[in-house]
Amino acid sequence: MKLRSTRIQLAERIAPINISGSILVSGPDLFLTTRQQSLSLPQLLRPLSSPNFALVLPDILGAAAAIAAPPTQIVTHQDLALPDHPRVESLFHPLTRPRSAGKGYSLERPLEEKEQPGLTLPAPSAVDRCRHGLRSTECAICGRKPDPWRRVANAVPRKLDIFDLILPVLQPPLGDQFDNTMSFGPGQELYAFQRHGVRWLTERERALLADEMGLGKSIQAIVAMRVLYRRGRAVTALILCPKSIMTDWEQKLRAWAPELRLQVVSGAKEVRQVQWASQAHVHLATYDSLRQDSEVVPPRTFDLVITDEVQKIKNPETGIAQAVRRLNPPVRWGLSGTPLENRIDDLFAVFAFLAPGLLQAREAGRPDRVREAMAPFLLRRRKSEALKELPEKVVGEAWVELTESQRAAYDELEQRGILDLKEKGEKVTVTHIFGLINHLKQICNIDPVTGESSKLDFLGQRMEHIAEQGDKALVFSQFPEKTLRKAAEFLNEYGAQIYDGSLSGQQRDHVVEAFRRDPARVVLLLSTKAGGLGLTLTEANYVFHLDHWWNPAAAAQAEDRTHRIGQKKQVFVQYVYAVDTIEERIRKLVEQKRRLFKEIIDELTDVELSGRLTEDELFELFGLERPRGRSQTNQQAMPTTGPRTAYVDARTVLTDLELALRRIIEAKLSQLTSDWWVERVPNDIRMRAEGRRARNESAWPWLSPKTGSFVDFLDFSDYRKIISIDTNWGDVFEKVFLHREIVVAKMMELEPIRNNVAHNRELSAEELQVLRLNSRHLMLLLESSR
Amino acid sequence: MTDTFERLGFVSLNRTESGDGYIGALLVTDPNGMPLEFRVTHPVKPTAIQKPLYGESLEPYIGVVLCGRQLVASSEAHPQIVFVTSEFMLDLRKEASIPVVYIRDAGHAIEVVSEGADRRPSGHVKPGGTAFKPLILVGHELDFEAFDHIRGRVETLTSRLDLMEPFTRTAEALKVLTKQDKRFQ
Repeated sequence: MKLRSTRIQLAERIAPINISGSILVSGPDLFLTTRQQSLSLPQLLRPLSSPNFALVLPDILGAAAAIAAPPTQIVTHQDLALPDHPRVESLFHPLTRPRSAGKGYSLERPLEEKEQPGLTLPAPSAVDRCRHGLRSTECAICGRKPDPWRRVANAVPRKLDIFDLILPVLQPPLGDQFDNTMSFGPGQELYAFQRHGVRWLTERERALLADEMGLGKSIQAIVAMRVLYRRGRAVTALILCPKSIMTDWEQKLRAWAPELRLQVVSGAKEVRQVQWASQAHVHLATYDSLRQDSEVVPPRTFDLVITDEVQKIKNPETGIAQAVRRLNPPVRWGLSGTPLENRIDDLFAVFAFLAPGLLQAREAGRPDRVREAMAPFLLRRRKSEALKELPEKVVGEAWVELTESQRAAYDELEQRGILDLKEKGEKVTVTHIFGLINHLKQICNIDPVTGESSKLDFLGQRMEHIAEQGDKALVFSQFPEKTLRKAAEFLNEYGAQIYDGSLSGQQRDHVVEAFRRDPARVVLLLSTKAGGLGLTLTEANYVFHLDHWWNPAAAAQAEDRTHRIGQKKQVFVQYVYAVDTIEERIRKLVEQKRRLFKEIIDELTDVELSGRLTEDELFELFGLERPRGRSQTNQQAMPTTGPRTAYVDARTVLTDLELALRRIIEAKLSQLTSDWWVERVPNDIRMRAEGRRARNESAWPWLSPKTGSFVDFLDFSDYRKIISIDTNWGDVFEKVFLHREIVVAKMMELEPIRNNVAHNRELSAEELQVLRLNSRHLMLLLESSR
Repeated sequence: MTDTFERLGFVSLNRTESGDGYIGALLVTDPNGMPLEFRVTHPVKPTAIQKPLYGESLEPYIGVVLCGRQLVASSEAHPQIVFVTSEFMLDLRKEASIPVVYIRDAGHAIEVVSEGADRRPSGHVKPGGTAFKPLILVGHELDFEAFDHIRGRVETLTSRLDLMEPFTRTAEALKVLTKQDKRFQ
C-alpha cells in the first residue's frame, strides 16, 4: 500500500508537467522524442511504445532509488547540446494577383473601382460621351454647345480623377503634320508656318513666340501644349492673359484642345481660391488674378506656364511681374505681337521670367548683344512673309473739316489751354500738355456742347455703304464716355454696340457674340484699350480709328482684330483726322519719329512715341517753349530734328503778344473802375466772351476757368476794338501805344495771320515778316509802358 | 460580323520606373485609336527568391495569369481583339475568349523561332496607306483556322491606325501615372 502511495506521489509529481518538444527527464530516465504530451499515471505504469514515447530505462517501478531521488529536473536539449532535426521553412510564396484600377472614357457609367477616388467630373451617360471622352456637348469637335460646368463656381475645389488626368496622354498622336482628323475638327488646319511654330515651341522649355498679330500665336501655343501633354511632359498648365482676351482663350481651348479639362479662374476672391485649388489640365487666369491670389498658388504648381501679351510683365517691380516669376514652372512660353513695345530694356523683365540669367544687366546698352542672346529663344514672323494668302489690308486716311461749332469750341479750348499753360510758367509739365491734347482730341471727335461731329457724319455715310454691301465695321476710340457713347446713339440704326472696359466678362461675350451672329449688328464700337487686344472679329472687314494713339502699334493691334487668319475679305482701315487741329500736328510728328526709329532700332520694334518725344517737342506742339531752368526729363529721347520752324516761331510770338495785350487791358482799365468789364468793354464783345467762358466751364472743368478773368476769353480782334474805343484810348491806352492809327493798323494786319496760325496753315514769308515787325513793335510799346 | 473590329485591346506588361516590378496595362480604343478605356494593375514586384524560382516563366506568368487575365476580364469596354507585343502574351488567348494577336514591325527584329511557333499562324499585314509600317502578325494556335479572317480584319484597321502606337501611349501614360499616384510606384 505504501509502495502504491509512493507510486502515485511520484506520478503526481510527474503528471502535471507538460513536456514540449524534445526533453530529457532525469531521474526516471524518459526520453520523449516528439510533440507535446502530458505524462499520466497509466502511461507510467507500463512501458510505452507508442510513436510518441519511448521508455528507455530503467523501469521506474523497480527503481527504489528513484523514489528517494531528488525532485525531477527538466533540462532542455539545447543545454545538453544534443543533435536536433533541422527546421524546415517554406521560402516560396507564390506571386499573387495584383489589384487593378482603371476607367472607361465612353461608357454608360464610370467604372466602379473601389480604389478610385470619387469621380468628380459630371457622371456622363452613354449618349453624352464623345470619342474624345468628353460629354458631346463639351467637345468642340463633336459638339459645340457651351460647357456650363466650367463656369460654375464651386463651393469646394474640384478633384480630377487620376485617370482623367492622364486622358490627354492616351489620346492618339496629333500627326506629323498636325492633321489627325481625330484630334482636329473640320477647318482646323494649321498653316505651314504655324506647324513650324508648334514644333519650335515643343523643342524649347523657354521660348518667346513673337509673331505679328493675327498669325495665330495662341493656336500654335495650344497645339504645342497638346503635344507636351501627349508626351507626358506636362500634366498641368497655366495660361495668363489680359482680361479682354480671356473668353477668346477659353473658346480657342475648347475648340482646339477639347480633351483638356479647363478651369477658368475668375470672379470674387473666395471663388477664385476654390478655382485655383480645383484640379484641371489647364487653368486660365488673368495677370491681375494671379497677382491678387499669389499666396494661394504655390511655386511649381504648373508644369507649363503660357504668358500671353507677355509685355504685361515688362516692369519687374510690379506685383504682376513678381507673381509670375514666383511660379517657377519647368516650361515657360511667352507670347506677344509687340515684345519690344517700349524699349529693349523691357525684354530684361520678360526674360527674367522666361529665361532667368539669359540677359545680363551689362548688356542693357548693347542691343546687338541682347538680340544675339535672345535669338535661340525668339521666333517672330510677319504676316507679309508668313501669310501671303491673307487678304490685303488697305490702310488709308480720311480727313474731315470740323463743323462750325466744333471749330469754335476747338479754337477756344486751344487758345485758353495755351494761355493756361503759359500762365503756369515754371510749374507747367508734360502732363498738362497731354491733358490739353486729350481734350482737344475729344472735340475733334465730337463737340461736347452741341454734339456736332464731322467724324460721325463721315462714319454715318460710310456705314450706309458698308451695310448695303453686307459687310461689318469696327470703330475704335480712346474715349468710351466722350466719344463711343455718343457714336452709339448716332449709329443706332446700324445696331451699334459698345465694347469697353466697363463691361463685365459676360457682357463682353454677349456683345461679341451678337456682333458675330446678328446681321443687323453692322458696327461695333470699341475702346482701343479694351478691344485692341486678343479679340477675333473677322466678321468685320472695315476698321475706323476715330482718334489716334502715340504708339502706332496700338492701332495696328486693333486692326488685327479683323485682319487675321479667318478673314476672307479685303480689309479696309481708315484713320480719321480733323484738319487744322492737334491731330494733324501729332500725325506729322509721329511719322517723323517713326522714320527715325526704324533706322536706329530694328524693324520689329514698335515704339511708344510718347516715351520718345522730348519735352521741347511736346511744348512745340502748341508753339510753346519748355520752361527755362528745367532740364529735359527725357534724356534718352532722340535728338531734336533741327531748328524750330517758322510755324512754331509764329505761334510763340503771337501767344506772347496776346498774353501781353490781355494783361495791359485788364491792368489799365481796372485802374479806372472796378467794374471795368461792364463799363469799358462793348456789349457784344463782353457777351461773346462771357458765353465762351460759360461753355468752357461746362465742357472742360479741369481748366479751372472760374479763377480766370473774362479777358482770357476775348478774341484776338477784340483787343484792337477795346483799345481803340475813344474813351479807353483817351483815358489810358494813348499813353501806352502813342498812335492809335498805327496800332490799329498793325493789329489788323496781324489778325488774319493769327487766324492762319490757329488753323495750322503755313505762313508766307511776307506774313512772317509782318508778324515779326508788328509784334516786335507792339511788344516794345507794351514793355516800355510797364 | 462586321468587316473590322470596333473595340481594340492593347495589353502590355511594362517594367516599373524603378525596374523592380511589372505593371500590366490594357488600353481599349476604337478603330480610330480614340481611347475607350484604360486599366492598369498595381505593380507586381517579385522577390529575389521568386525570380530564380519562376525562372523563364516569370514574365509570362505575371503578364498572362496575374495581369492580362484580370485586365481583360474586368474590362467594361469588352475588346473584340487583343494585341500584344510580347510573344509570351499570346497565351492570354487561353484565358480569354477573343483573338489575341502578337504584332511587331516587319523586319524590325531577327526572326527567332520560339517553342510552339510552328503551330502558330502568322502573316504579314501591309497597311492601306503609306503612313504606317508593315506588320507581322502571329496568332495563337487556338485561332489557327480563323487566323486568315482575323488578319483580314486587322489589315482593314491599319489604314487608319498604327497598331504599334497605342503601346507608346500606354508607356507614356504609365510614366505620368507612376509620377502622380503612389499606388503605381
